[in-house]
Amino acid sequence: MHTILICDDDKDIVSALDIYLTSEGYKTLRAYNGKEALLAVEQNEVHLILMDIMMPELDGIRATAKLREGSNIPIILLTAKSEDSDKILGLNIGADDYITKPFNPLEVIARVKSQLRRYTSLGGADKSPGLLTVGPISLDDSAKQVTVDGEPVALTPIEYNILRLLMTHPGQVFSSAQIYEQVWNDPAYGSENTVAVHIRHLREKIEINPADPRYLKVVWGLGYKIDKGGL
Amino acid sequence: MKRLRDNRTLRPAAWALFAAAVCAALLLGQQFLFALWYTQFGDWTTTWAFDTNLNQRAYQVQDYVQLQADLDSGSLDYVEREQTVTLLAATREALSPERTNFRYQILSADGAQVLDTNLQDSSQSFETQVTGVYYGALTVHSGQVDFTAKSEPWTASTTASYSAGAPAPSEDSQSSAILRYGVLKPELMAVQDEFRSLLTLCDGYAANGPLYGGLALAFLGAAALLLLFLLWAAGHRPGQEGIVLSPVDRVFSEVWLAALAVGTLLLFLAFPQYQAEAVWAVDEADQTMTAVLLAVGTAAGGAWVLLMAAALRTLVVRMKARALARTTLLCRVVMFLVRRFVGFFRDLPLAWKAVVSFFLYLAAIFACDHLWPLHDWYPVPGVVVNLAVLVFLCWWSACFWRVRKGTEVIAAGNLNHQIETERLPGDLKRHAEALNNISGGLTQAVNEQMKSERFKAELITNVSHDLKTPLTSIINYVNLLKTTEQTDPTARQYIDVLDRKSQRLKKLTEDLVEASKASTGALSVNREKIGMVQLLDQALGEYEEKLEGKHLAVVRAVPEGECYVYADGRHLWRVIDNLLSNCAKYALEGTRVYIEIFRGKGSVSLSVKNVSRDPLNVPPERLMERFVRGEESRTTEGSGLGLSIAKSLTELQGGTFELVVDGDLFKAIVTLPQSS
Repeated sequence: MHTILICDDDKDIVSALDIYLTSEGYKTLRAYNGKEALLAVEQNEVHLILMDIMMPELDGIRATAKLREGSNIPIILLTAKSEDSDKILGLNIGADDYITKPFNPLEVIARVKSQLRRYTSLGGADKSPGLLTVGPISLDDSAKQVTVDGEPVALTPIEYNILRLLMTHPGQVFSSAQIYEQVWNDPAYGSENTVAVHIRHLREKIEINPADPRYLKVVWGLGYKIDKGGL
Repeated sequence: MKRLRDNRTLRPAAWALFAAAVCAALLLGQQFLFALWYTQFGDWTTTWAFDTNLNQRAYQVQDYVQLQADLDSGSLDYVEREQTVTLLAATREALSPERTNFRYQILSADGAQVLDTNLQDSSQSFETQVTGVYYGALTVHSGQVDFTAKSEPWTASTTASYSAGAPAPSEDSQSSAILRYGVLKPELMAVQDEFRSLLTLCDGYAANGPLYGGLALAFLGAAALLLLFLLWAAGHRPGQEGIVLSPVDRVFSEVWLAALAVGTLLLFLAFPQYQAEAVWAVDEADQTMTAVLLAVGTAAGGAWVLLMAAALRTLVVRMKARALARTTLLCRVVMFLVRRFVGFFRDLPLAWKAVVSFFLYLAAIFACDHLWPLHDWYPVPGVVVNLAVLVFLCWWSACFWRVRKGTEVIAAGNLNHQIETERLPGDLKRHAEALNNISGGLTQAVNEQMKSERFKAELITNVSHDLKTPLTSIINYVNLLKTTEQTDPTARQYIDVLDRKSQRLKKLTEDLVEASKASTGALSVNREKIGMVQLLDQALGEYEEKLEGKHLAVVRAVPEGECYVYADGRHLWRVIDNLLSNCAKYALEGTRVYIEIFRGKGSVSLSVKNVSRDPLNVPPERLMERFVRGEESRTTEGSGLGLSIAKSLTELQGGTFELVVDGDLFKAIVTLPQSS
């Protein structure tokens, strides 16, 4: 039973999120500006904060900065600003994730769950020799198993091999041809399209919002890579 | 120095001092002149005054002899005798050595015997004691004494002729004698009389002349120094910057010139008269007259010098204020005429200017040929005139070249360029200024448009941001509705419509922001080397299922090897994303989509061809405008912004975006610069 603080100056949005999160079994607190959010965190045990950026009194960015002075509660920013600079600022200031408005409630729940799992349970997991971890994604090569936030994900062998290739070299960009040659063990010959399709399927399985991937990223015109998270 | 110049009391004082110095110099100068003229006569004994005084004394001696003769005749009654005795005593007293420096001797007719004298020292001869010796004949004719003065001085030869027994001066005279007279030499003079006064005066002239001259020069120098100071300070006013023209300085220069000319002329005309008068006065030792002359001369000369100084001052002030030409009538008339002609010439149409210039040139050449006086040098003026014309033409051409260059720069798009209009001929200058005004106006118009575009983009961003918040609630509550149990099946339908439309609204707001940002260039562009084929394959991978769902077969034609372009991968993806999503939305189902990459000259192009489901009833240019779709009824899911965004993004990356519509065939070509 986790407590989630919802903070937005639009009361209808807070209510809607409240309904969704309550139905998922979370306890919720409400705040309508940054100051109320700080107060609520002081007075209650809060496990996660959903925070809007544009708010009166104290905006989300400042409130996040204040909270980060003495706490590592997961904070997910809700923002109507879709500009990259706002996301970068939010993440740099200490937010753990962001969701752009207008958001899909299911995505919010998924991200909340993901953050909570990482915050509460993943901390002290044993690290076996064949275990590759990037963000919430873990790939156990000995068990040939992939988990996202501890939840096992079913992958086809090709998808598994692509993911393993990318995860062994986090941050490195692999072109479609390189991936094809390494995974299929065949010279790439006009089959690059296949890689793209497999990557998209893989992304749908491990990303919360495949249209806005956080980890498995497309580097347009160059290839694909696994990122440690964030943008 | 400045304080000295601005002192209020100093300047009038300096003027007064100047006038005083001038007067003193004039006074002393005249004295010097008098001395000069006096020395021209030579000795004091040669002056008119000396002669006059001497003659008067001689006639006094005659009176004395007459009285003596009257007394001797015995024909007088008692009263007459008493009167005569008194008179005689008075005359003798007047002629006594104690009263006068005049000395006389009455000699017998043969000159051998001295009958009477007032000479005291008889041990020495008359000539050694007396200077300026004259003589005359004294005759007694029936009791009447006559004196006939010889007009020549007594000399040694005269004495000789007398002592040699010269004949008596007159035949019919009963008796005759010789009167010899003169004035004691200056060193022997003991008495204050008219001769002594004359001597003092004349000695004064002779002795003080150089002193007067020197003093006059000294005063002149002082006056000149004062004048220099006054000229330096002239025109400045305390508390005022620059040169101030007083009313006196505004009077036409010609008035001053005329006053000066009249003054100088009068002075020159009067000078000979003055000189004559002065010579006379000196000659006659007329001190009243000399005083009057000095006064008049000083007044006239002083007035002239002051007039001169004032004229000089106003000239200097005018020159300091650069107003000499402005305050001179002649200059103004000439300048007025020149200006009228220049104005007339300037307002002529260019063609008429050429005509007038040509006739002026002809006139100049004619003048050179026929009016030039030096026949040996006849080609010189013609050559000079022609050279001048050549230089003028070259200059004009150079100026025109400059204007043309400037115009080309402006025409090339540099609207901020300003053509240098300094030192251009009048017509070209006006032309260049007009061009500058055009470019200035264009710059302003472009800036205004940029500003309004940016404002629009900002407005759209803000509005769409404000739209997003309520939209979030709508989407969330529609979702909540979907999860609730609905008994009425139509309600379920309605909720589906709401869901679809809210999703579309979401897409629309996102596209709107993107379109406005892309078209105003508010997006950051990070260009790098990008593989076009790789990108196409990635995009096709993303779209595979969507296109298959519409039964669209992709025919992909790419050249051997990778085609690298210099572009921003994310923006380029958005371009291809929009094109492929257009295919998915508007292509006729069951047809083929041809996607081709081909290399051009220094560029790489990607073309997407498909057959439109609906007739394309708008020209391709319109298709790229915002909110325009192939069919006008806005029922399909697109926002109408896709092609506009694609075009803007392509152009942001330095590429070109082209649309071709041929019947139902829709073709988009994206061309980007090749990466080396």
